[in-house]
This record gives sequence, C-alpha cells and structure tokens, in this order.
Amino acid sequence: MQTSDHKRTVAHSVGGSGRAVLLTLAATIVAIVVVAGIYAQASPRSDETAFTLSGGYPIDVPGGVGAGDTGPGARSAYDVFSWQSFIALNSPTDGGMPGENGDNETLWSTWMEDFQVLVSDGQTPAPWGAPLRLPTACKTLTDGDGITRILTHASKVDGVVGLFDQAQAGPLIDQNGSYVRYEILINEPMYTYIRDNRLYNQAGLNAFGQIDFPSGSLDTSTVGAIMVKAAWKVMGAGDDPSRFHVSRAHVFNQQANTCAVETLGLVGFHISTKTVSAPQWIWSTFEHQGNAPDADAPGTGAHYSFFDPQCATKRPGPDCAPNALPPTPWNPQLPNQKPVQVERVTRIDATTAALNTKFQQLLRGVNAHSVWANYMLVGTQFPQLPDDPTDPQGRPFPQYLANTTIETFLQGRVPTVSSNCIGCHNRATATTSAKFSDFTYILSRVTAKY
Amino acid sequence: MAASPQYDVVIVGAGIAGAIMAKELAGKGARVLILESGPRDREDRKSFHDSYLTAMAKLPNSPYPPYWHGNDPKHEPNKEAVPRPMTAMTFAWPGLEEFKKWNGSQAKFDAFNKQSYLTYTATTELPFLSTYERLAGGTTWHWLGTALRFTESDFRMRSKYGQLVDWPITLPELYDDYASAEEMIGVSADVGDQRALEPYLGAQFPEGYEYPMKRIPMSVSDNLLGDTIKGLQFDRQDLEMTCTPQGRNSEYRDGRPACQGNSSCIPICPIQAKYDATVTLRDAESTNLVTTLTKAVVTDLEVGPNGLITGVNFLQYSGDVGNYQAQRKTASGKIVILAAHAVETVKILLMSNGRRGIANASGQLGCNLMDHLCYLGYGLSNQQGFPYRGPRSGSGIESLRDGPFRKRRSAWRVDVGNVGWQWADDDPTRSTHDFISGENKSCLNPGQEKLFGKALAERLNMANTRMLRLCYLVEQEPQQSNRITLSKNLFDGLRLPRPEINYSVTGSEYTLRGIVAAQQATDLIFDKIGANRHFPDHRQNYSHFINDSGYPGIEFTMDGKNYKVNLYGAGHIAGTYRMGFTGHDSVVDSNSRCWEHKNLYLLGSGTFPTITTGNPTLTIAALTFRASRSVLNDLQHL
Amino acid sequence: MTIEPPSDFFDMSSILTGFTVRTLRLAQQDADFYGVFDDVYGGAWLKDLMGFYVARVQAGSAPEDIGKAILADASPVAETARALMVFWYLGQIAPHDDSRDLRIPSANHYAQALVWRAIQAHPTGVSTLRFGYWAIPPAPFDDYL
Repeated sequence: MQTSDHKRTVAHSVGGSGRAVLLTLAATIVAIVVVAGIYAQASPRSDETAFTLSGGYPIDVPGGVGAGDTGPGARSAYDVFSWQSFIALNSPTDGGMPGENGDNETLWSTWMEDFQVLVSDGQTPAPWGAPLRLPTACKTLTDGDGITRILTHASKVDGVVGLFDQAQAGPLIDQNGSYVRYEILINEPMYTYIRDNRLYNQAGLNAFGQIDFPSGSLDTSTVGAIMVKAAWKVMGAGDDPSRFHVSRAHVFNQQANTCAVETLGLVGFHISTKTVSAPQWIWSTFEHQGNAPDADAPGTGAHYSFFDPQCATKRPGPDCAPNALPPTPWNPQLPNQKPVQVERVTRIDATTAALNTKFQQLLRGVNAHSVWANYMLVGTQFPQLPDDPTDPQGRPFPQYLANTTIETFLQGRVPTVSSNCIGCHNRATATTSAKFSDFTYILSRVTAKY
Repeated sequence: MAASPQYDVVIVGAGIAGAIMAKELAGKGARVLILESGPRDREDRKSFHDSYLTAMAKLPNSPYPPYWHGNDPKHEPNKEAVPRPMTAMTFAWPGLEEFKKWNGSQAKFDAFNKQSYLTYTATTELPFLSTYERLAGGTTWHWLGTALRFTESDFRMRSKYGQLVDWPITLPELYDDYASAEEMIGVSADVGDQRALEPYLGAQFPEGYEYPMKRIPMSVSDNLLGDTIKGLQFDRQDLEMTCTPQGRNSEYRDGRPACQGNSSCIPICPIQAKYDATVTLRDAESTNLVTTLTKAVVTDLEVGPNGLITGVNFLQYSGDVGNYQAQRKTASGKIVILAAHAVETVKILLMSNGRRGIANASGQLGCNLMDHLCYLGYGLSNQQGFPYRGPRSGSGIESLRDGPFRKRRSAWRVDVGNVGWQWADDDPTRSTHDFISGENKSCLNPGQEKLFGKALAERLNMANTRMLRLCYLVEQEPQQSNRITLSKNLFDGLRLPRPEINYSVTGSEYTLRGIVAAQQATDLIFDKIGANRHFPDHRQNYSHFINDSGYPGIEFTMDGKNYKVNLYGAGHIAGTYRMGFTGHDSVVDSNSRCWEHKNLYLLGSGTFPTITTGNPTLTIAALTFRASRSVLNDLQHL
Repeated sequence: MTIEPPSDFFDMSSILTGFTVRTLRLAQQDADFYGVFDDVYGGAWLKDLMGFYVARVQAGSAPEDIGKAILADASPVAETARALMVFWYLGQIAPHDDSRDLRIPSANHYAQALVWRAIQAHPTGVSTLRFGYWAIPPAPFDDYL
C-alpha cells in the first residue's frame, strides 16, 4: 500500500511540475494551458494538421458542433477530443508519453474508485489520493504486495451493485470462460464535488439542490468532471499480454468471499467528460482491436478475445448466437462457462477509423511496440442541441454507440433499448425521490443514510 | 440433466408465481426444477422492443413470440409449438349484427377456430377477450404494473352481500404475504393515499405499514380529471381519484432505474423500471439450486396409487415452425407445482390420466372462467391534460370498488389511462390519418377536412392533448358454464389439444348491471366536463357502440332499456381451479394445494374464487408466498 | 448506404408537415425517411413530386400556395404528398400500388414520427425524458415544431 500512496503523490505533483508537450508530430501545436495544477489543453480542432500527441487534457470543443440547418452530426472535432483525452489519461503516472518506456501505469489508475465514495453509514470518503482498503479475503495473499487495483465489480461490496454484470444486462464471458471485470473511477473535480457536498449519503443528497458536476470550461481553462469505466479480461490461454495494457489486480468475489491475484488486460475503456458545450457530457469509448470482428465481416483466422471463428463447428446450437446473454445462473465461479460470441454490430464510422489510424501511428512513433497503438476509438457521442427544451438528452449524435466489451448485449439500433450513452445515463437518479444525478449511476448506488 | 430425479420440487411455469415459489424454496435449500413451455429472452429485450415499435397494431402480445398477424398460414396455432391467445386472433370475430347472422353456425365457428388458439363451442356468445404469454417471465412481460390489494369485502362476497362466493381466506390473513409481494415486486405507493379510501373499502393495511418505495407522481391529466370529478357521486358514493400502487420503480432499485414514463408498460417496459418475473427468476437461479428448462411443454402428470403425483411428463422441443423435434422426458420431485396460468394449468390437468383428467372430483376444474370485463368510456376534456406522457396508467377511481350496491350489481374500479384514446381508437394514429386524408374514423373530423402544414399539427394537438379514457374493470360473476375443456379435434404444433371455451356474459344480470353502471358513470363525468369547447359541434363523450369485426359486443335489455356495448379484456384470467372450503366445491385449499393430490399445488389467478375489484398480479404473488410456506412444511414430512 | 437528401426535400416536407427543416433533418439523421420512402412507395412518384415542387419554387410561389397546389384535388402529386405526410407523421408507409400494405419500416421511423411532437408527447416506448416529467406540462407547442 506504500506503493499506492507514493504513486498517488507522484501523480498529484506531476500535475504541478510541468508535463511538457513531449511530442508533436503534426504541423500545428495545440496550446497547453497550465491551470490550477492540471494541464489543460485548448480546443481540439478537426482539421488534420492539428493532430498532436500531448499529455495535456483537452477541455472542451469550442461552441459545440450543433445541428444547424445545414448538416447535423459532424463528429470529427469530438473524436479528436476523445483521442486527446485517451492519451492524457493513459499517460504514465510519472510523466512522459503513453508507452514511451513500454507499458505504463496510467494517470487515471490513480483516481478514486467509485466504491471509495460509496461509504457506510456515518463515514466520510477518504481524502483524495488515499489508498484503497483491501477486503480481508485479499489481505492474506502473499503475492499481492504492491498491487493497488481491486476489481470489486465482480460482486457486491458495501452495497456496490454492478456485479460482473454489464449495465442492465448480464456478464461477458471471454473465450477462456472467464468473466470480464469492470472498474469505475472518477477524477478529482468530480470526487471533490461529491465529498464537499456530502453526496455520499442519503441525508446529504436530499439536502443538496440540483446535482451539477463541474463542467470543463475553455473560458476559465478548468477541467470538469470525468468518469472512466474500464473493462478488463484475465490474461489466459491464447492471449498475448504484450499486446495489452496490463495490470495485476486483486479480483474479489464477495459471494464466495474469495480473492485472487490475476494479470488483467484492458479491453474496453469509456471516458465521460462534462463540459460547457456538453452538459449531457461527452462520451468517448475505446476498445482493444482484438476484441471481436464486425458482424458483417466476421474474421476467420485471427484470435479474438471474445469471438471464435470456429464456434459454429465446435459448438453448434444457440451458444454461437451473436451477443446473446449467457445462460443463467451467472456466477463466475461455476465451471464450464460458455463464452459469449461477440460481434460488433455497428461498424466504426469511416472518418473515425481514419482518425484511429493517425493516432495509432503517432503512438507507434513514440514506441514501435506501444501497447496503446492496439486501442481504437469506437466513437464519441455528444449532444447536438444541448439546450433543446423538448429533449433533456440534447439530441445525441451518433444515436447509438456501444463498446463490445461494456455494452455487448445492448448493441443495435432499437430506440430506448440499444446502447445510447446519454439516453441511458439520462435515467440516472439518486435518493428515494429519484432526483436526477447528472448522468452518473454512482450516486444511484449510495446506500449510507447519514 | 432434464430427467434427473435430484429435485425436491418441480415447478411448471416460469412466470411470477413459479419464479417466486422457486426463489422461496431455494432460499430454504430446496432443489428446484422449473419447466417453462416457451423460450427465454437472450437478447435483453431488444428484439421484443423492436417488434413492438415496428408493429402496426400495438397490442399486448405484439412484442412476443410466436408472432401472428392474422394472415399467415405458416403461423396458425396448429403449427406453433407454444401458441397462445392473441388479441389479433379476435379481429376475425364479427361485429354484433354479423354475429347474430352466424346464428350458432358450426361452420362459422370452425372457420374462426382455425385461426384462434382458443377454440369455441357454438353456444358461445363472446370470445374470451384476454391474452397471456408463454415464455420465461410469463405475462408479467406485458402486465401494466397495477398492484392493488383486494378489499376485505372482496374475500367475503357471499357472507356480506349474499352474492358470488366467499374465499377460504380473509384479508388480514394475507397482510404479511401482501407485504412480501410488494417488497419483491417493488411497489411504489403512498400508504396514506390508500388509507384515505378506508371509508369506502375498509382497512387494507396493518398499523404502521409503509410501501417499499414512494408513490409515482400523478400525471397532469390525472390531476385535471381528479379535480373535475370532485364532488360527483355515484350510487351514493364519492368519485375519487387515487394514485395507483404500481410495480414500477420510483427510484433506482437493485440495478433497475426509476420509471421514465415510456408509456408502453403494456406491452413492454423497455428499461425494466416495471417489474417482471425475469428479475425474480434470475434471483432464484443465483442460489445455484434452481434449474430452468425452457421449451419444455408439460403434457401430463403421472399419479401413483395413493394419489400422489409421481412424474411430470414433458416434451422438450427444438427447431422452428414446421420443423420441430421433440423429445419425451419425465421429471419428478417430492412436490409438483403447476404455475402455468389459468388456462394452461387446466389443460395439463385435463390431459393427465389418459385425457380423462385429474384433480377434478369437485367438477369445478376449468369452470368459472372469469376476467375483468372492460368497458371503455372516452372523450375529450376542455383542458389540455397532455396524455401519452408518463406511465400508461398511474391513477384510478377506487372509491366505487366496494359498497352496498354490491348486493345488486357488480362493482368496478376505473383505470384512468395516460395514453389518450390509444386503446379505444388507436390514436394518435387514427386521427392523423383522418386529418391528412379527410376521413372521419376517429369521429374527430366530421367535416372531413384535409389539412397540411402547421394547421395539421395544431388540429392534432387540439384533439390529442385533451383525450381522456376511462377503463371500467367490471367484476364478472363466476359461472359454471364459462368453461375450458380440451378440443377434440384442434391441436397445436406438438399435437397437444387446444383449449375449447364456452363463454357468455349475458347470463349474469349481476354482471350486466355493473356494465350499465359503468356507462352511467361515464355519462355523469362527461356531463360534468360540460359542452365541447374545442370541437363545438361534437358531443363530449365519444364512447359509442362499434359494430365492426374485431369489436366483440353484447346486446341485452335491462329495466326495459336496450343496451349494446363492446367489451374488452383486462388480461385477468381467473377462476378455473378455484380455492374453497371443501373438496366438494373447489379444486384447491386455501394454501393452493389440491384437495385430491397432496403433493400437487396449483398457483396463479386460477385459484381465485372471484375476480374481485383489483388487478390480480399482486394477489397471485401474495398467495404464492402463502403456498410456499405450506410447500416447505410438506417437504419436511414427505 | 443512406443518401443525403437534397435540401428541396426538407423545404417541401416542411411546408407539408408544418415542422421546421431542422426538426426534419434531425429525424432524417436517425431514420432515413427520404430513401425509404422512395424505395417503398416505388416508381418515380417522389421524383415527380419534387419536380412539381421545384417548378413552383422557381415560379416564385409562396410556400402556403405551393402546399395548396401540391394537395389540390386535381394535383397529379397529391396522393404522393399525402403518403409522404403519413410517413413523416406516423412512420407508416405502403407501396403506391398496394395502399393496404401499410408498414413501419424500422423502429427508428416510428420513434422519429412527427405526430408525437405535434401533440407535445413522445412515441409510446420511446421517452427521452426523466422520472416524473409527466407531473408538469410539456414545453410549449412551438418548441416541438
């Protein structure tokens, strides 16, 4: 746990010590602004000359994009924003560029886990940067020294609901029969807002007015609330850990009260950023390239983490139906779990795919074997009409967006039920009065009364 | 695995009763096998919702398989493995005048029966109007969510009013089980709202009771109507609007969100804010003691020499329409529980013992088929209530559910709709076609105007934002002659006999008087609303008799006056294996256990001796909790 | 592959439906009204309707007059225009040759149908609002156009 403390301290101070723009591979350098200990970056621009690799946070897309009378749905500026966020958040905790010295501990891994604000009655969340407390079942593990990551979204911990289940669906089981685990973390502005306003218990939530997390503002050059949701798979047979961002972590199952140390590979990554132009937040989602093929072009020879090209031959029957919920009961400890046959239902947009190639090249320019170059942006959802009085969702674009490892079962194009980031999070509430919780389900899961 | 003898209990049916029973038993360590005739959703309701959204007719069955649109021979009920009654099947039922011309013609009935899962004898005057689902989760997929307790009088109709029959159980005996049911379903309500009805309905809650969640706010239109009917009296009782206890979340609860007002509770809640039995089924399975087999259609029960059920025979099928493969299997357990719905449970019992039937010493099995007969009253308000916003129904008029009038007429509650005339008239679709094409099917366009541009939008707005629809759920008298038997010559795709129904309403003056009262109360309410301000040449009350096919109707004379009314189903199918005080006049005892077969339980609204004035699901759940204690007790001694 | 509709299509649809071009564009973004109408309705009907419209625009007619001309009893394009209006309003469309074969081509066409906006509501099954919204009146009518 010393390590954890140390890293958090480092991460904190890095913010103040000037992480410079390390590499600028494109013609134009985007300004990096130093504010309040956090590097902030001015507007991402969609013209191609502006691409740059930097560790600074993008703050917002100026003026949004809007749906004028001529052409709603321009996505490029938000996609650039997403990539800049990805690079900033995955930068090493001790400075430098992602992948510069091989795989690295990431800046976001030093943020606070959702369950750190989901305290018990009478408790206050620890100060920003405080280390995690290990469940008892994990403390006895001798090979766990120095591990700072605990994946509790395998089960309920202190009222944390989420299990290994995906939001309002079921578990994703990989080709080796292992359950994918999820982790939710929030940045300091968001954590502080919850802590300072006592939104970690029902009394505080009820006493508080409208929940309105800080928004990233270009005017004041401040970074707003950011949430991250990561999907991890156990590195097992057939997996090549050198192609993943990996982390060793305690994987805890509360049902059985067991804990194990596993090497996990990052397969999916959401970044949700609240900004002035996007009060409904900006929803960026990334995936490992080896997750699953497109539905209309199923791969043949390649090894996928969540797809078996020979499934139909090996296991004829309903098991190979794409993106089908696994048979119940859902319990990671049961033997002989059947993998979910995952396909990407909606192809990545062509302009987004082209942008992916560019940023992956930039990352390979840092390190030819960079694990980060194996990740791709699936898309960015943003509100086109954030102030539409008829639609609190602000007319999101694209209408549907799904990560095959986080919204596996919700892919598709059916209104209300298919994965729509803003659409789903617009339903997030807190308290027994269903107060709107500003697009986060973390506050929905607050159980402490006082 | 399928035919393993390792189970303590075999449950037939994965709906709300089966799921709650499984969870309660497994929670106490019992090993349970569930046999479900239908499939299970593995697409997380996406394809169901897609089917709903793209359906031209948005009916209770629209989202769910098997699909039937009334014109596809490939999907006729004799081809499907697990067909079930569908509203679309009654579209072929003629209007009243045409039906009179049938004059009991067997050929006409035969033609109708071909396309209908429920088949009819020529003595029938009305098709059975309600439907159910056959898939894991059962009919809670398309239930509305209304979670009312029954009233004290509902259980004591014979002793209190000299009508119908008493239940072998009283309301206070069910208090705890109602509380368990409300907790499991997750009911949102304010107990104070409900207690305010005590002057009319008597006590329904023990001291200190609180619902699991706060009430769901009433809609703009509910509040407007509530104000409108203030001060009105009918049968010497006040008309009062009450926020309905609803099985929909009013807060984030156990991973499911608060209601978002999608207004499609029937037939599907896209976000599962409305409870359905798949929630409990998963909970039951998470104990690792419950195994669910789907596409397992029970054909009959085996009975041992001492009357105990020794085996449950079923067909496990795979494949598609026209190409099914079915395997015969047998499951056994110490106790067998049929929770297959009021129609299917009867079928299984009648198919047993070489199709001579079991559990029927009383002669009541399959009899007393009941529903809430729905009378729809609809019209316009003078104020904008903005329907089509919020839960499909969130309020009702409950103050007339009980009263001295029950000595002579059946009672009702009024479900106040939040979706304009959608049920009655398929709006806003119908009025849109009317104002674009110059027709008048909605009765809103007598001038046959053809509009476009903003004028079109404004006119649709003027009509649709003022629509009111009242659904009277009329308590139907149980009648022996309303009966399910097995068809001798009509089968389903697995060659199992389809149900044959004999069904009539006009034989019960008690029921008819309730329908007349519903019509009178509608007039009273629209009289209060007054002259139609926005469509000055219209009447305010648009309810009228429709003589078209697909609108089953009845005709009768009451107190010298002639009535023609259309009736609709509430989906509340009850009475077919009633509980009672003795085995001579009922099928099960007050614990839902068969009088004749001591290890056989029958769950669901089939056990209801009367349909009462409340929607049945909550009471189905409560009676299941009650039965589960009896089952656990029996397991100790068997 | 969805083809971006010409702006005339939106301008004409705006006259027929009473909704703004912006609202129509957003609906088209989620559900292809233009291409699917052409496919299902068949023939050259949409082309003829557009041609009729463009000629009137070029002749300098006022929008309201163009609407009346399109929908006049003797108009050769009135039937097509009404079919298009039904499609925009309800998401329902039938082939020109078989008007009884009315269908909803996709869930998104139903979800984007304009009638729900005309009545200040949302399609049943597709609410984008939040818990309890139904307890207060909706935004003003004009905001929905």
